[in-house]
Amino acid sequence: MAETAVTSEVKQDTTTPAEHELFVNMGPQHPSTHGVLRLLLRVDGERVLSLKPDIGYLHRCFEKIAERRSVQMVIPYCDRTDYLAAITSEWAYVMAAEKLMGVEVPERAEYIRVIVGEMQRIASHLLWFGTFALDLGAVTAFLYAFRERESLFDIFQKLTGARMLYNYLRVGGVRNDLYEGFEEDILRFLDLLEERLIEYNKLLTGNRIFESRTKGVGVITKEQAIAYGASGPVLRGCGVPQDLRKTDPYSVYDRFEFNIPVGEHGDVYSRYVVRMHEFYESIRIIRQAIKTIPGGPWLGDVPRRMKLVGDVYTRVESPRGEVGVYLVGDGSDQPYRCHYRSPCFVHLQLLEPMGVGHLIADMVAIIGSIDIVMGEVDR
Amino acid sequence: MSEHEATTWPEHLQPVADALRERFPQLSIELKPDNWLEVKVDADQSPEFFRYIKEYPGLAFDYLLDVTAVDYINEGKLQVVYHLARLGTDAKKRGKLVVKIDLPRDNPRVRSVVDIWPTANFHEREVYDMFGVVFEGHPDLRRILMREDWVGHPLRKDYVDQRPKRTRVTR
Repeated sequence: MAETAVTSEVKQDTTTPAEHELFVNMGPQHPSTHGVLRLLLRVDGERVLSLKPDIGYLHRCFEKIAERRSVQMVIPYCDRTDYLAAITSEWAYVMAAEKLMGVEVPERAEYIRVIVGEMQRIASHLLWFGTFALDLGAVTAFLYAFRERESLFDIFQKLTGARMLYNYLRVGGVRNDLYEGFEEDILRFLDLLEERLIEYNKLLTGNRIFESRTKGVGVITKEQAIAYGASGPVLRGCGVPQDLRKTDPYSVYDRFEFNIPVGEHGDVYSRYVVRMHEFYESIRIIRQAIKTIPGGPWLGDVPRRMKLVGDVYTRVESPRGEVGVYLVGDGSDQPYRCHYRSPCFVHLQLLEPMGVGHLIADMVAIIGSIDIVMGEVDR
Repeated sequence: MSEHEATTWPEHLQPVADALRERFPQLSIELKPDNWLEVKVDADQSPEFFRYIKEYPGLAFDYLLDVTAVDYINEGKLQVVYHLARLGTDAKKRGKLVVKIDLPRDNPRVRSVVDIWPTANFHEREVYDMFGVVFEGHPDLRRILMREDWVGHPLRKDYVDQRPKRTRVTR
């Protein structure tokens, strides 16, 4: 199977491979690809001359399934698209459904969504930090990050009953209110995380080996990033201050004070720095939200018979970039069409401009720096 | 056209609507929730239209978010939907645009936009994979999510699963 695919790629390639050139299959079971990504590399020695991503190994027909389920039944499937940031996937979908049905969301529910959304960002970035460092050979950071992630998951479990795939957001609000003592738990965790972030930075940020592996690797320009539709930390790493929470605010994000961290050089290191700063911004947002959260109901008035009419595109800033859901309704309670715009799907196209001319070992760093989740790419 | 003129546009979207109407006077422009502008374009007009909204300085929609399609089987059409935006630090210069192109269900063809926005490459491959829309001028139009030898386009409403039925085991 792999061999035939390779030959078909050779035929497509206009330049005949020279004697010293070689085709290498990276993946689909390569540990550094964070899932089942297959990269077809044309290499000269260790240097990458061209590459083609091959995806679809994890396709689970999310969009087809969504057409056969009622509105609320789709929410757990949204969890399984981007399983490392389930809340943001749910959020984009739920917002689209609310707009089509004209449902008002109570203020308290919006605050709870912001809090869990930012908790999710921290959890996702923690996993990224650990695996990214592991890819580059720093095993300790991986263990550190997972320790903190577990204690954050304990809070998630107390709140939603699940550790990764929450099924917590509902059309019109959230499933249940914050539990008694949630405030203390989360504030204690944030204090702890702030201390630990100093440790993380000591471990990697100034590390000479780490810097030489990441600085100047996988560079893309601002123009390239925009032309290729990049979003999230990949776009911000190039110096574009684009963050939907600020530039196109949804929910109640316009009530909080936070900055958009921006990188300078558009390389792996810039994307690393942007994400490390985002930890602090998320902490700030959660603290403000906890302080100002209003009382009241956490689930709005939702009609028992749900009807989706019209079409809408909603966008949410997930830890990886812009998640969009294009939802079309035909008057029944099932989506007529539900399209999920995945940020990593788009970022995969950037691997070629990022990776060409670098070594195979650098590809690992580059893939780690765009924080890829194959569940979301293949849907 | 009077109905369009009666619409009150948000201030920052007025120049966009004006610039679009200047070149394409017959264009129907609608204002959607969240300040999305919605535009319907004919398939044969689309190359000119996309080139214009990318390159005309007053428009400069440089950021293609998404390309997808919807199969309206009862109306006998496939609709390709583009979502575009402008990036910039100035909030007033931002704008969001939805472009819809209706295509016949048999032999749907439309000009590819990969040469204008390179990001369309994967999106258009996905639409081809799921709906069978042929994007003319696409550099590498192959299936992307489904297997290479898959038959049919799964997200069409009249798609029938070709695989043999599995017998359900009941206890």
